Amino acid sequence: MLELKRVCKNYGQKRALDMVDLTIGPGEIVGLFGENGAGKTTLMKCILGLIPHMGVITLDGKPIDRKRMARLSFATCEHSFFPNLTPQAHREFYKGQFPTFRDKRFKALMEFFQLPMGKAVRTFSTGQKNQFEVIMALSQGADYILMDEPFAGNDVFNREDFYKVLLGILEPTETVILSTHLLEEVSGFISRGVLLRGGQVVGDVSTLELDEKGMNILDYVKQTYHYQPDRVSKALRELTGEEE
Amino acid sequence: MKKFDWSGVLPLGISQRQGPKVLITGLTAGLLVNCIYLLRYASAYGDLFRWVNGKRVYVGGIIPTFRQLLDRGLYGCWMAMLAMLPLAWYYWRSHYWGSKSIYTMRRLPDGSQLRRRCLTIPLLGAAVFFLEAMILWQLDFLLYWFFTPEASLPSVHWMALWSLW
Amino acid sequence: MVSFDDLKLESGVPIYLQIINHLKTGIAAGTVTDGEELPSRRTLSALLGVNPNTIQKAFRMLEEEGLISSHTGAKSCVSLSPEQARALGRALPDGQAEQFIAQMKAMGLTCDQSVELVRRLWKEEEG
Repeated sequence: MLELKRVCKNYGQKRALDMVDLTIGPGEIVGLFGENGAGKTTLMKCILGLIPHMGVITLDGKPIDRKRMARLSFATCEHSFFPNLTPQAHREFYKGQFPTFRDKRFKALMEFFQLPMGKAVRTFSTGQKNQFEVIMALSQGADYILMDEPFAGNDVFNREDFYKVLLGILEPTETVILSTHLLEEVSGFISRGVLLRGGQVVGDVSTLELDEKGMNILDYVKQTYHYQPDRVSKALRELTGEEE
Repeated sequence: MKKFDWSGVLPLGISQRQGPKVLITGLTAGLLVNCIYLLRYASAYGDLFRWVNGKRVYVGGIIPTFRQLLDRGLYGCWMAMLAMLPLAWYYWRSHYWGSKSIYTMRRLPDGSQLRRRCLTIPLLGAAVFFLEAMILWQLDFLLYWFFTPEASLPSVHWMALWSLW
Repeated sequence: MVSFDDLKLESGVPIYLQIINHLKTGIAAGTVTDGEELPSRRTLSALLGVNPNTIQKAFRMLEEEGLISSHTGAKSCVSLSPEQARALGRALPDGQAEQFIAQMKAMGLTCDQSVELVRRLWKEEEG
């Protein structure tokens, strides 16, 4: 159980995260949504201990020390692999560092996405790099897999393949926290949607709940943001009105 | 002699050969710069002699102090030591180029990995170059002490200052 | 094994309902028979790209309606009595027709106009 209590993060004057309370249990596939600057990346980095923050983050009730950190893995659009190493070299390094490394899964995913084991990752295309990044996060043997916009630059066919493969291989104890702009695409895939705005959690709903209400995730987000559909036309009217 | 695997003490992705390369480059730089002293000593030594009828004859005179002759002879070693600072920084920054592998390094259960890979060569280099400086200092002084005719050596207290025993 | 390969998910309708309807349509059409196995939840989840919770919900509701039976450790199976099959065979088309009628009415068509439309388009499709 991953618990966040009153987590805050300031960058100078800016409040990047504001009293975030969140509990995420095993087996959930959580979509983390919000506009740019809402705090999604900051939140993930706080969970992973990559940036200092206020408030408390625990895993199964205990603070996340170095050892417990191995139960979390990370895939980011910034890429956290070693560009000069081959996937084979990555595998060896990870196996040495993470006793829970899932070798079978790693090999299966590399084969499925047809990525070469013996070439340095920096020679891969952007799409392949993204795929490799996610493969490493999935193969680490973590219980909580955090992915920050992992598919920036992958075409839609790649992405759909990926969601399906993910659903096929994930175990009931594995949790995925995925931040993405691609709301509609992931709406069937996730079990829960958490909405961030201005560093605060403004929405938190399970997809089953949404089903009951007959809403989809896009409706929910719009409703939560008080999106005004005629906002654009209103602005245009004002503009053209002024010009006349 | 068993080949040492440097890859465990360098950032991942940086060639193994950098380990010995850094050390050899620094040692060589130290040696080369030290040659300044050798040249200066040779010149000062030569000043104690004159060529008479095709033969070299000792004419006397006081040779400059060891300190004067050594001058910047050890600067190669000091520079090599100082260069270890930007090297450590370079190893650290290498985790930000091409990707943010720094995230992975900071998440490893083994907290010593990052430190080890950024600091081993710089610290080792600093130690080795410092040792080289000490050894060259000794050797340079021994050269000065044993080669120079006794009558030409400056007064003892200068010696004491610059000798190491 | 009941096939879900040709199920194309649409937005707007809850996914669990689409899964349930797909099975019911199969039953009504006679392509799904009593005793046939259903794919496992995980397989179906991966096939459709849909969260296992949603699959779980669909299966649970089908079980509540008595159309499938599940046993822990084994795959779920269709469990149909002939009466159920017949009832579905009637109910589904009825439901679709009711929707169609409502739509035609909303566009201002009469019963005869709608029937004529159906006849013409059906022939076109067959021809």
